[in-house]
Amino acid sequence: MTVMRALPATMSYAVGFGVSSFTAPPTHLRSRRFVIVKVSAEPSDKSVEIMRKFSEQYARRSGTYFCVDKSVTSVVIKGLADHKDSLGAPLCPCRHYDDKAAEATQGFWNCPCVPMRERKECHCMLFLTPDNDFAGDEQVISMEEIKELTVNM
Amino acid sequence: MTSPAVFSTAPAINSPLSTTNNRLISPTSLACSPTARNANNNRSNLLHWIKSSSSDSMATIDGRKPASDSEEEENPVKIGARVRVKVPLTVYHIPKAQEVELKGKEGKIKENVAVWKGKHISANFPYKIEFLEKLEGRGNAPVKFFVHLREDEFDYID
Repeated sequence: MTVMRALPATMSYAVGFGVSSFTAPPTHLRSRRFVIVKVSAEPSDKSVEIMRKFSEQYARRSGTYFCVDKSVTSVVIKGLADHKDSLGAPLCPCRHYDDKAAEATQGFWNCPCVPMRERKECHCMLFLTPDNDFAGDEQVISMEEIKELTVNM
Repeated sequence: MTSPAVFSTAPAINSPLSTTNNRLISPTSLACSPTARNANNNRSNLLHWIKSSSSDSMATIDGRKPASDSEEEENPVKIGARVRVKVPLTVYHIPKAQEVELKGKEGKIKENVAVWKGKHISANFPYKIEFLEKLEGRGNAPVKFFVHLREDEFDYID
């Protein structure tokens, strides 16, 4: 059985049938139905909007600011939205996990994570204290900005 | 680089497979998931990724057995131990107290959050310490609060 996985937008791949990466599979196999498993995809607009609002509100509440480079902020917000869609909780998108479901339930890395809540340390550079070299002066980001800045990701 | 012909044969695949930037922006690429990290078009990379992700749970189950014994030994010994914070550390999460400096304060270990229901959690401050301190702005009664610390941020009080 041939299984093709839909990989995130950043990956390009080809399922090989003993041929080079850039040729189509033989015709007799094209008629087969492929099982597509979505590993991760674009987060839903609704989740991005929720995480965008959350980020603005939490930045205000914690007295932190977004990065001067708003594309950093945008990517993180999208990553949070993606985890919220797939796991039910916005796990920190800048870390690697062995067991995402367990981490989402346990909650240490659910945004705002414990290091952020307790120490105001956000290594995603989503929430930056004013003394941080990369901190801008804005605590707002619009949906248009997020879409523009993540258009090819 | 990808050939359009490949995609035309499998229309159900999500179309926006970008060929341009394969990496997250540097601050976020520090610890990103394996799916984003592999940027090659290589078939062997893909197979390796599929194998490793499917065998992830196997590997962690097998790998955890020898480690879990030592973790279980640590927990009963250390939970409840009295500790003192030895590094300058300010926390901001205590209600109605803006910043609280913790250096020199004493507390006791409440739990180790790195192990949860038998599973390993990748917390970088795994020790949850319970403090009971009088704080400015919170009146006369001592306030109970929790802080997560790393092993090297506190000393045991014997």
